[in-house]
Amino acid sequence: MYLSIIILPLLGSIVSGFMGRKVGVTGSQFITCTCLILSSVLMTIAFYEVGISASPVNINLGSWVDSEIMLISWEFYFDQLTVSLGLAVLYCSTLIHIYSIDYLSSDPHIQRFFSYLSAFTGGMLMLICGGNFFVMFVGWETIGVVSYLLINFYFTRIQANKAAMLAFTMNRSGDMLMSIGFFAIFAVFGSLNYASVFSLVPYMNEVAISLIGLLLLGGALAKSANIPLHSWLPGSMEAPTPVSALLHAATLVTAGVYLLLRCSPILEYTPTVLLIITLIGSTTAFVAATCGLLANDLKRIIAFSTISQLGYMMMAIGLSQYNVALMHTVNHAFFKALLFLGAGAVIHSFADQQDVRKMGGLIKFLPFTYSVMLVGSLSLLATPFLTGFYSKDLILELAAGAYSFTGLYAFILGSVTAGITAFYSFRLISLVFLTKANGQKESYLNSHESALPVVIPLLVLALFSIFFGYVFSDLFVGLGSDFFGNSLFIHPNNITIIEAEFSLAPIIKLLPAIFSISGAFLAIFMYHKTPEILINLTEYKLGRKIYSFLNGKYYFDVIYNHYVVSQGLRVGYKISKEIDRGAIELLGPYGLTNTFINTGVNIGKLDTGIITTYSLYITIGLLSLLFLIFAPVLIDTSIFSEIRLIIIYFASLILVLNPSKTYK
Amino acid sequence: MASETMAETMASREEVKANRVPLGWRDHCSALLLPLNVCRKKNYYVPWECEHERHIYEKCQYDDYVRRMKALSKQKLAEREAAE
Repeated sequence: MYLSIIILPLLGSIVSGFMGRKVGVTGSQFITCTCLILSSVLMTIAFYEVGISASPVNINLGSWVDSEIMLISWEFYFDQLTVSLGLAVLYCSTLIHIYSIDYLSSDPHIQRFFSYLSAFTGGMLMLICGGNFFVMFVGWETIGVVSYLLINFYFTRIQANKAAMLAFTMNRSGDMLMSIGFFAIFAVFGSLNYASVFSLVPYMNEVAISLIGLLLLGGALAKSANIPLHSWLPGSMEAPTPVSALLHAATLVTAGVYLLLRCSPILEYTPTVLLIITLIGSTTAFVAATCGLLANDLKRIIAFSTISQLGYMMMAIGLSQYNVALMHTVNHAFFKALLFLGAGAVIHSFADQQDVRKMGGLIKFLPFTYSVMLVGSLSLLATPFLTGFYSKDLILELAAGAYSFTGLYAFILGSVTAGITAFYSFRLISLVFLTKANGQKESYLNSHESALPVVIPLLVLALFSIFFGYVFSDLFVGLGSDFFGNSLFIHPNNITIIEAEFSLAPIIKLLPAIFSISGAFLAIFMYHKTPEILINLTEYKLGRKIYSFLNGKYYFDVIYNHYVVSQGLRVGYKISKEIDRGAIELLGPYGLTNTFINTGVNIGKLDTGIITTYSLYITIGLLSLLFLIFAPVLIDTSIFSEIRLIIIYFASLILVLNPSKTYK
Repeated sequence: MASETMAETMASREEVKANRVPLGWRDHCSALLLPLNVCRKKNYYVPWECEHERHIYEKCQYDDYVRRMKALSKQKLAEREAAE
């Protein structure tokens, strides 16, 4: 049963991809969706067996690498962490598959699309179910490649090509760091098995553990789109909307968070890395939220929101609250998938318009879509008792309850970010649904609610966005809950939930909620009552600068293009022109053949036809022979011990063998 | 009196080991955590069950927190007096 969870999506992908013409569009949709539904049902059973019944499962399929020093198996491990995340991955993926039936019904290459979607899900499952770092890496790279293919699905569009390449190269740079991290793990621990590595961590050198932690963090930052490797995610919105929902909300971006959660026994022994993670996470949350403030593309606003929420997850990891980070990851998967799919429904029904400035008044045309997007937004901004509240609010309380510099930093930035999140969420709701109509008349006349395959996923995700947090709150973040067993390790010194629960002043606890409510009301007020302030923002010098700065995403792309990409090209040019075609060619095969030819030509030049020259050669030859034979006797030493003589001898030979050009 | 209460609420090493209590929660209230987690498992961790056990456990954690804060205040006061 456990292997079927991973194999079914892969099977669906193979059938849809390689036999797409045989099975047809409907066949491909039916097969992939059925595989995913079955896999989801099996994962639910696994969640009961492994999670609720606390019975982790280890499956060893056999040896993969078996050398004297390295033993790696095809091994899958299902523990509480795996099944918790697996539930979110499979539920979201199944719903997105169903959603795509209608969403892409008029597109070509549907079989290819469903094949990619299922392959991606299979890769993600391999990642989270992998029983050692090596198998996990296979899943990691699979999702990397398939995400490239999915972002580039509309491969005739140059923007999609560029976005896919940016995502791929940026992820590769993170993967490179992560690979080095795995090498370091193998060098330090002599194994890549989770159990061996994690049981040895407390006895290892802290510097080595910190370096490993930093390298793994590099991979996680790229995959989970945290600063400084975050800029690929907004560009990836070029992909079809179901891809954005699957990759950039529910699954792909959680891979980095999963890596860090899995490595919690390593991170707990590296306070430095934890501190860095908290600082990066908090900064990411704030920076991304501010970028979302003035974005005008519907999907990009949600993409920035995703980066911001990933920052919250990193923040929780840095504060050692892994269970809370995991809960936020799962919660976020549901409400963000809902927001993306809702956005897709809007775009689809509104003549593929994505600019929020050209929408407005859609509440009367799309009441259901409006309702579910409102639910998603309210859940996102941690409205009490909705799903997001149980994790996001707790993260901020835990940050304040840590009573440390990083905790304070995270709390301040996190709380401000909560306000900004509310602002841009309600800005989106206002501009798309509430304000007066700003779009073309034809777009409104043709707008309509979506078909059933779109409505069902939206409804299910909306229910999850309301109830999931409450139902699973005691399981994930209950005081003293033993649900996670050994799958997550929190050092006893780092448990701060008691302080967060009992020591914080009510105003501190309420601060994020106050900011959220203020942000939401401010957005509604400004976009309804005083829109001229926002319209005239760019009329002033300061306003224009702020607008450019935030819309330019803090100029991260400019900095990367100017200082990293161009320098990289320059170095590449140097390598190609001066090292590849210079040194390597001189010393390589080309150089060797040239040397032989030149030597032959030079030797040929000795044949001058002049008798005196020939007599000189004979004399030198004779003297050489005499020297070689009699030197040990005459100078009472071996010729090889008198290096100066050998140098003089060979120098004279070269002089003779290189005839002067004057002969010519 | 306080030590008696602590003895009542603290499980033995063997008990916490047998019940696989997470390391960080093997504290002064661990004896009250055992029935709570048993109840949680029996009721599939749903939040509307085990209210009585949860309340007792949280009360114990709160009392322990207050005790720790008082001990910390005393320690700080003693340090300040020693410094003066």
